[in-house]
Amino acid sequence: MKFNFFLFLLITGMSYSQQLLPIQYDTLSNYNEIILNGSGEYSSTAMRNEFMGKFINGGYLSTEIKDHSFKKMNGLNITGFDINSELEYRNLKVNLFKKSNIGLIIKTGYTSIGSMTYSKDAFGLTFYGNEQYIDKTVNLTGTEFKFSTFQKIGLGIIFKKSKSSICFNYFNLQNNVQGSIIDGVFYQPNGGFNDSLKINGDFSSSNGAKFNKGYGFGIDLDLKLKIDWTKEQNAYIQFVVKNLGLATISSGATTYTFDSTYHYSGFKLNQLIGENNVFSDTTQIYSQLGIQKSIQRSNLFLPVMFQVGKIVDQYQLRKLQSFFGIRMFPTMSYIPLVYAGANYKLNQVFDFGLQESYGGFANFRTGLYVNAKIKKYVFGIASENIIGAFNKNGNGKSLIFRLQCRF
Amino acid sequence: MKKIILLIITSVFLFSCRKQNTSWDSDWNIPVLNDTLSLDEFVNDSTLSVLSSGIYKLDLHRTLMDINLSDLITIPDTTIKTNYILSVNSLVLAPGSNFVNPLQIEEHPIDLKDVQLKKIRLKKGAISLKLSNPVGTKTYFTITLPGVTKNGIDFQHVFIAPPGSQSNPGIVIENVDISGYDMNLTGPNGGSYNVLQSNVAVKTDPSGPTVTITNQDVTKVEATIKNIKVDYARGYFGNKIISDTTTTTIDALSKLIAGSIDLPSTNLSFTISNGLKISAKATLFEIKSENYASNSVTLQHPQIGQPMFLDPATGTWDNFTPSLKTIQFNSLNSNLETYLENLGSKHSIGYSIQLNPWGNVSGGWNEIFPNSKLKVSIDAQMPLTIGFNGLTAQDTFDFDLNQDEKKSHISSGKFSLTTQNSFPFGSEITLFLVDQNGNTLYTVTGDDKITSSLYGSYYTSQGLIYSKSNINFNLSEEIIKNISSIHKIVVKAKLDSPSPSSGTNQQVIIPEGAFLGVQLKAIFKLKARI
Repeated sequence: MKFNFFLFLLITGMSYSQQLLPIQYDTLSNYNEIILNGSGEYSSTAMRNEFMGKFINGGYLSTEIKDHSFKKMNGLNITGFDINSELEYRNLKVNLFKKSNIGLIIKTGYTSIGSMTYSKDAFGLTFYGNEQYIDKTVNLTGTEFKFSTFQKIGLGIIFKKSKSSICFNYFNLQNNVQGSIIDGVFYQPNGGFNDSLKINGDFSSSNGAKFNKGYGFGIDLDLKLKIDWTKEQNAYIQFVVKNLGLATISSGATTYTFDSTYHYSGFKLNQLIGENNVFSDTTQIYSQLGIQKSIQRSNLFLPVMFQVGKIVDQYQLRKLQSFFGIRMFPTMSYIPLVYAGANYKLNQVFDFGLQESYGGFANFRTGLYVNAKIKKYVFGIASENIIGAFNKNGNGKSLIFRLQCRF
Repeated sequence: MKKIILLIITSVFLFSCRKQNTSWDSDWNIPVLNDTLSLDEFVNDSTLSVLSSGIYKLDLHRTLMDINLSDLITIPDTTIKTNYILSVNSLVLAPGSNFVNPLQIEEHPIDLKDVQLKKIRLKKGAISLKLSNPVGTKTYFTITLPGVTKNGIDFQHVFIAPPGSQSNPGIVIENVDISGYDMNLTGPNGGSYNVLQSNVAVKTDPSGPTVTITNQDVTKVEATIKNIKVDYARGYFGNKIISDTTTTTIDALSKLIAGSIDLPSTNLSFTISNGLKISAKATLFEIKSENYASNSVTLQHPQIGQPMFLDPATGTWDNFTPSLKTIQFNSLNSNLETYLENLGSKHSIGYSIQLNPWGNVSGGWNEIFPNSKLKVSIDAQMPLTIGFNGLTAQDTFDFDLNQDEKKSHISSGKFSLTTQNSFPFGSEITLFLVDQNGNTLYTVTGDDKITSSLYGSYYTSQGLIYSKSNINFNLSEEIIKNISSIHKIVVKAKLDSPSPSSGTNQQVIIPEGAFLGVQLKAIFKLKARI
């Protein structure tokens, strides 16, 4: 059965709803609420959808598909993905700490996020091989990647009036892989018979096959501030911090570090024949390559996200409202993303939004959303990259989903 | 709420669905071998030399046997035990009294079988002494070895033993280095051989108390002469026969499986060098070669099997001249060319050498000096002018590449061989891909040959004529598919030395500096799967 990434997202409701699907501020303060949020996104500054789609969903990357992306690449390029879901229960009827203004939040979530910065040559070497680089220089400098998968469970408080909240989370680190090439040049002169590789970098991977390779603690923060927007009206600025914390890889991480210049021009005949040939002792080859291997428990920052922006006010009487903001993932290869858009309130049920953004794992993208409020349910669906959803030449795909139920 | 739970269950079910693999093809070009093969390393290595005309010459010198004095004269470790007992019932000993006769010379024969040594010089050796004192005061043991001298002075050492008793004697153990000593083994009268002399004197401590010794008290001297190495010897060294069949294997020729070579006339000499002042009789009784096909050729010559008598070397010490006996082999007096063209990889040479074939006729005046050697060697000379007629050699390389088509794997490929050849012969190379039971699964033939330099051009930079070749060994899809079954690669090279004008094989001259530059690349398409 072919796996459909977006079908999966649609059904699970994995969306990044609180990031780009505009949060609508309200002042009600005596209800219970369950919110299922989620998003799935992959995007790239250079790779096209036809390439990323096959890469993620499976299939054969033909030369034509590779060529289309390769031609769009610059010196350094970024590709990333973010799959995120959260199930949150808010109880605003309870008065925590005997304070009438403080309610309870319980949440659980799943995040799988990865990003990679890579040179055009690194892409070419990986997907085309070294033959096209004979007698040429391959520049690998600046290549880095990081992939993390973790789950969280949290408990927090919410201020009933402002809807600001803070949640303390325990994280289960399922996997973490990262690496970088600070300086890397590969050169194959003389028809490929005098290769040299200068490389300075490292690679690290959490060990073991088990689900729990580490743990961590962190917080989620959601602040909403009321400001004067115009003479007649106010606006709300939201400041969101997610997954701010540290994790420990308790099972240990295997780290390889290399900082050497290697030369290889083929073996001599006497190295290939006889019992003492170069392949008779692989540890010797390993040592000659100067790769240092270490296994140790290590700590790392969780892939924290910061977002600050103006959000939509549900009680505004005007049909058209603006929203805008900026989002950052400081620990990832992520260009600070700026976005701006407009929300159109069609009636008491439907809201529509259109947005433009730049940054993240990609360049310019256009987003679209619709939000429906039917009795005690609020349903929202959106995409940050509406062109990518339908065009193989797009620079990624995005689907955002939110389901709210008040009772 | 039920709907939400249903959604979660459905999502878990879908998440468990495995996506199909992502795959792509990439082209790789990996250097495997990059080497230049030449004969330069064999020049001035007692194998090749270069003639003034700029061509190589086989100038082979190999030593088959090289024995020296330590191989001929072996003195075993020898232990001498002497007990001294008082001849009267008891004796009161004042301080400094001798109680073991200081004038008595002991003679100790050394068992050397039929070797009769009169004088030796010790390159290395030691005496290990254990002295036992039964009296209740310190005693002084003075050990003298008459005839064992260094710089004209007899070996003499004094050892002090602690006080003891009859039941619990005072013991002293010492080890004395006797390297560099001359040892006269002719005995007190100078007419004997293999005799070591000693004198032991024992006295009480001059500063000690007066003690009483009885005839129940035993004073013991135990001396072990050990680890003796001799670098000069005189005497009669016996009627020893040294006989051996030396087998020499030439690995390169063991790889041949077919074909022949054509050699020019060649000279080979077999020389026995006698650096000992001993008469000897030598017999070369067989020279035989066996080739890849188990064909044996025995070298025929009138002197093979006939004894040769070797005079003693003349002169002394570093100024002596060995006596030589040489058998010359050439095309006229032997079947040498047939022998060499048999391309034997295994050569056996049988010989015997008998010392003093007429007994002790020198009056015990055999003599061996530190640099004396008895050597057997062969020498061969010929211009390196060789004709190859389909001479075929093969070698086997281990190979292990496990592929799983469900994972990243090589989908097609070839080996590309580029050569620069300044040897005047060419080669056709074939690969045999063999399974673990030795069965040939596939045969891969190159799409071209390594051409002889005689078909090439003159390159000023190298100052040589050479030809360039590029040969591809294409690995079919079937081979790639079954590559996990291949465990060995047999490389077969067939050599010919064709004339560019006639195309028939001829004898060709190998020029000085001739080389074969080899660059082998693996060019393959990798199907990556993740």
